[in-house]
Parts: sequence; structure tokens; C-alpha cells
Amino acid sequence: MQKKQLGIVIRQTFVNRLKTVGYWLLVLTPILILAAIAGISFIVQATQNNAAPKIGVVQNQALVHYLDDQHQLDADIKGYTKSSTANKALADEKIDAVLVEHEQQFTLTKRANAQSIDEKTLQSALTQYNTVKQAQALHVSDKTLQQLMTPPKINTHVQSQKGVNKDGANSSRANYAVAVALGILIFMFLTSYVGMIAQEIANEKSSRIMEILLAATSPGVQFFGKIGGIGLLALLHGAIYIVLGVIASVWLPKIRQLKNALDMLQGIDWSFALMTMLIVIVSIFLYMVLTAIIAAMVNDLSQVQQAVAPVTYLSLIGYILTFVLNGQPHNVFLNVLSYVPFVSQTLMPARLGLQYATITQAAIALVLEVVALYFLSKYGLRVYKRNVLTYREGNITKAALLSLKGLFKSH
Amino acid sequence: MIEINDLTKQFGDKTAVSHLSMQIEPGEVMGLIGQNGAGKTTTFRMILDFIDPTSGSVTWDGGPITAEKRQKLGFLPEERGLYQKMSIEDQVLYFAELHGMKRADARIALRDWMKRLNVVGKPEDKVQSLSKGNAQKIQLIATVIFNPTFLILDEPFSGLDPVNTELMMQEILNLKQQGAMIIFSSHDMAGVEKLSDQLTMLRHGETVLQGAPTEIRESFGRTELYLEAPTPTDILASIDGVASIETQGDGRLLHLSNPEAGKTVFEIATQAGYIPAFAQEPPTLDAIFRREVAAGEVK
Repeated sequence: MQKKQLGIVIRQTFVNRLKTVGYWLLVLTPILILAAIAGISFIVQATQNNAAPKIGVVQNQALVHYLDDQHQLDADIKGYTKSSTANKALADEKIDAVLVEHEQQFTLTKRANAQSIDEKTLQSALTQYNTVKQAQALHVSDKTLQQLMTPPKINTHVQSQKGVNKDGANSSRANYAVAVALGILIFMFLTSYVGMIAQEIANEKSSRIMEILLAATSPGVQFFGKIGGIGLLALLHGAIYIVLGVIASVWLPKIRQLKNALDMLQGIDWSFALMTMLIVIVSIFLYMVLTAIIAAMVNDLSQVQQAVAPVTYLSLIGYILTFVLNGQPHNVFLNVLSYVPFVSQTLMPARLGLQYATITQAAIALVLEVVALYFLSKYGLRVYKRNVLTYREGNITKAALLSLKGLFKSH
Repeated sequence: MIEINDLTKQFGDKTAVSHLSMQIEPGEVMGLIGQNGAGKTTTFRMILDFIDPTSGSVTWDGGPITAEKRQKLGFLPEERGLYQKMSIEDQVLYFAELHGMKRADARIALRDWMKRLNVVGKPEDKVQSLSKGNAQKIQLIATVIFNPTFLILDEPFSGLDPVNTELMMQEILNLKQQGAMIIFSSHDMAGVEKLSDQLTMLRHGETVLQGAPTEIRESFGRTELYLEAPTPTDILASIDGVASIETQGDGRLLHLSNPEAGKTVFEIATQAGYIPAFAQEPPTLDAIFRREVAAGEVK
């Protein structure tokens, strides 16, 4: 019978929230923002002038031929015999820049509103031009010159815990990028659903509906029913993003940004993706349980933000540490924290993505999260039961923290 | 049967309820009266297992109030609460389902109840669009739609106009006739007297009066005498056993220190023959309540 009631509370919480504009704004806003960014980027690209810049080279026909033949520089090269003619062409906006050589030193004079010139490539081309000139002066053969100028090729192999990965650099980069993106997404999820469960419980407590509900059911049914209902909304939220991602990859493969994202996802190790997903799902439930315990302290809706602020700060720790993790594979502090429930949800996937941690270590973090979830649910229910029908005055944050001290006291 | 045995609740050094005992049989209504803070709501919260008693017990048919029994328990809290943004139907059906009722049955019953209680609005309307009185009726419907066996009503008539109070009283009496055990608190003594088979009066957590309303009233003696007669007040006041006299409408109300004085008053008042009114009654519940409250304050 309790199971039936639990099912009713889960369904009611889920369906009720699903009907609200707020939930769909939460789900659709990131998509709309991404779509807006993609749209603006598309419009900017479509309307930008792609004409190659025109560079006038003064009194140096050899350089004109060299730059034309090399095709390194994306520019139209035009030779001028007189500096004054070149400068007039520049003033008349017929060319974008004037290049002058004087004793192997080059001067590039650009118009303020010139087309963009890739100066790095230009410098590289001019360096090569000087080298060729010097080599010719030293009578070096073309073949020898070719050998001298061919850069060495580096093949990167990453020795990870799983063995050699020929595309290691790409995979690691992809996983880290995904881990950081996930860090942002997880933080967004946690804060959203922490707020949602707090609102749900505080609303029923402050309006005294909780008394009617607890007359019919037990605190356990309400506690786990609310968490179950909101948890389902979070899972649906994630599922919507996955489905939309798949649809977008199938139907819109030509959009450049999407193609870049898909190329990056090609490098993902799927065991990493699965483990990350599990860690994240458990962490969402872990945070919701903690929030439900604290939200039961709240007397009215105006106290919700104040009461859940410590929970938000807690989720912020893991989120911020994800950004300092790169390049610190042996940082003991970060390594230990990546196993700690409430922090591990962002740190461990990031370490895993960077191949600083093995899948076994991630599994240990997951198990620790599950154990924490079990004990927090078990002992948290006592505090919830004690708090949910008690109306206190004074500092709610202090009362919430004091209440957590009683977590392991017997009934 | 609901049995409350020697129930006590202490908050620190303050005793909220002290050694309360009562029984409620099927088809019986228990009225709980007392000032604010007398311990009525605390008693309800202990019955509902919202708070643990310091000592004593509450049993339903000889056993604890289990999850199964809770399905047949209806509770109307003093501070009303409904989901403001939800439709009437959605929330009444939700509460009904939690009490084990099927949605389809609850949907039909809701329409019937709304008609009986003259609720202005449709089941699809949101609660926030309802007037206070109609919202209270919906609250009562949510409490009783599943035909509870045990009903706890904390101040069910507060905020209701006389017409709606009468409507609600009638529905409570209907539930009583169907065999429900009902306990309710109220400050409306006329309502308590009308509805209750038994009543308990609490003062600072102590039980000061308990029994059937008529028995309680009779236990104070027939000390209130309403008289419409031409007899001068000074003659009435000089009768031994008449404590005080006050004007009430067309007549006078004599407060007697000895009920036997009523006979003397009757003889003197009827010496000239017919008089339109002579009624010697025990004090009203309201008067008893005031008297007990005053006695508590003197202590």
C-alpha cells in the first residue's frame, strides 16, 4: 500500500511540474540560447566579406613571384615599381597593404579598414623567402634546400591506463572538453533541481498541505515520493537533450558548429560517457535528498533561497575545481576530493576525461556516492520527519545546519 | 473505537496536554473545546502521530493507527491549505487517491459533493479563483470524499458564514449517521452543543470537563432563569437564592445561586395569573466555558 502511495506521490509531483511553464523554460532555455548563438554566428559568417586582401609589393618582382607561387598566404599579390604608385593605390583603397623590403627587413603598411591579413603566415613566408635567397647565394642545391626546409613530423601516441591510444591527444581533448561542458551542465542541473525540490517541499509545508498529506501517508512516502518525482523530471530533462542531440546530428549535419561538436564527440571514450552519466545521476539524487532534508526546515517560501544556499555553495566547489584540474594529474588534494560525494560528480568525470583516473577509480567514486546516498536517505528521513511539521523562528541557515547535526541521532 | 489513554505531552518544562483520556465510538462525535493554547491542536497532532506523546497512547480498535487505518482517516487542519495553482479536480482526486479511492469514483463523488455544498465553480477551475468560503468547502470535500471512518476536524467552522456553517454541520451529521467517529474543535459553543455526543474541555492542557453536553450543563444545576413577568426587579432580587438579575430582550435573566429559588420566583411571578415566559435552564455551554476560563485565570 505504501508502494502504491509512493507511486501516486511520484506521479503527482512529476505530472504537476511537467505542466508548468517554468519546467519547460528550464529545459528549452539552454537550447534556445545555443540556437541563438548558432543563428547569430551563421548570419555573421554569411554576411562577412570573404574577399582575399590585396598586398602591393614595391620593387621586388622576385618576392611577388615567390608569394604567388607558394600559395601559403591567402592574398592577392601585386607588384609595383614605384613606392608612390603603391601608396596611391593604398590611399585609393585599391589595395589593402603595401609591403616594402629593405636589406632583408620588411615593412607592411596597412589601411585602417583593410581586409584582414594573416601576419603570422606572411612572416613565415617571408622567412622562407629570405632563407631561399640566402641558400641561392650560397649555391645550395634545390634538393638540399628542400630537405633543409622540411619540418620533422611528430606522431603522438598517448600511453593511457587502457594501453596505447593512437588518437590519444584528440580523445583526451574531447573527453576534457566534454567533462568541462558536463561540469557546467551538471552545475546547472543541480542548482535547478535543488531549487525545484526545495520549492516543492516548502510550498506544501508553508501552506499546511503537508499536514493533510501526512495524515494520509507517512513522511517516508512524501520524502521519497517528492525526490522520485523531481528525479524523473531531471532524467526526462537529460533524455530530451540526448534525443534532440541525436535528431540534430541526423537532420542538421551541415551546420558547422554542430559538425565541430560531433567531431569532438567522435573522440569520446564511451565507458567514460557511461560512468560520467551514472555518477551524475546518483549525484543529482544525493543533492536532492540533502536539499529535501534542509527544505523541511523552511517555514515559508521566502526562506527557500536562504535555506538552500549552503547546498548551492557545496555544488559550486566541484564545479570550480574542474577548471583548475587540467595539468595537475598528481595533485593529492584534487585526487582525494574526486572521490568525495557531493564533489566527485564534476571532479571525477573531469579526471577521467583527462585520463588522470582509471575507470576503476571512477567506479569507486560511484560506489562511494551510492553508499552516501543510502545513508543520507536513511538518516535524513528522521530529520525530515522531525522538521517537516515543526515551525521555527530565527536564522533558517543556522537551524538547517544544526538540524543536520542530529542526522545520526536515534529517533 | 478510538481510545485515548492518559495522553500527556510536554515541551520542555511546559505541559501542553496532561493525562487526557477519551473514547469515541463509531457514529459518535467528540467536541473538543478550550481557549487558544489549551492543547486541542497538540492533541490532534499526537493522534495523527505528527508528534510523539510524552506518555500515554492512542489506539484504533485496540491497535495502533497503522498505514492501512490512515487510509480511512480524514483530517482538516486549522490552517487550511490547498495547492493554489492546481485545479479543484486535480487536487481533490490526488488526496482521494492517497486515501485509496479510485480516480474515476472520486471524480463522480466530487461533482456530487460540489453540488451538495453549493460550491460556486467547476471542477476544472483553479483553487486561486475561488472565494474563501468556496475554498473551505473544497477543503472539506478533500477531507471527506473517501468516506472516512475516523474524522479529525480542527476548527471546521472558522471563517464560515452562518449559512455555510449550517451546511457543513449537516454534512458532519451525515457522516456521523454513516458511522464515522468524529473529533472536532471549535469556539462556536452552539455548534459544539448541536453536533457533539460527548465533549471535552481543556484548560492549559488539563481536562476540566468531560461528558455529554446536556449532562455537563445539568451538572451545573438549573441556575439560569428567564422571566417575562410584571413583577418588580427589587422584589425578585430580594428572593433568597437569586444572585443577580440582568435585562435580556423583553424579559429578565435571573442568575440563581440555588436552583430551588426558581420555585419561589415562579410563585411570586404568577400571583397575578398568566405570564408570557418562565424558563429555568442550566447555564449554556458558552457560559460554562467562560466560567471555567475565568476560574483558570484566577488560579
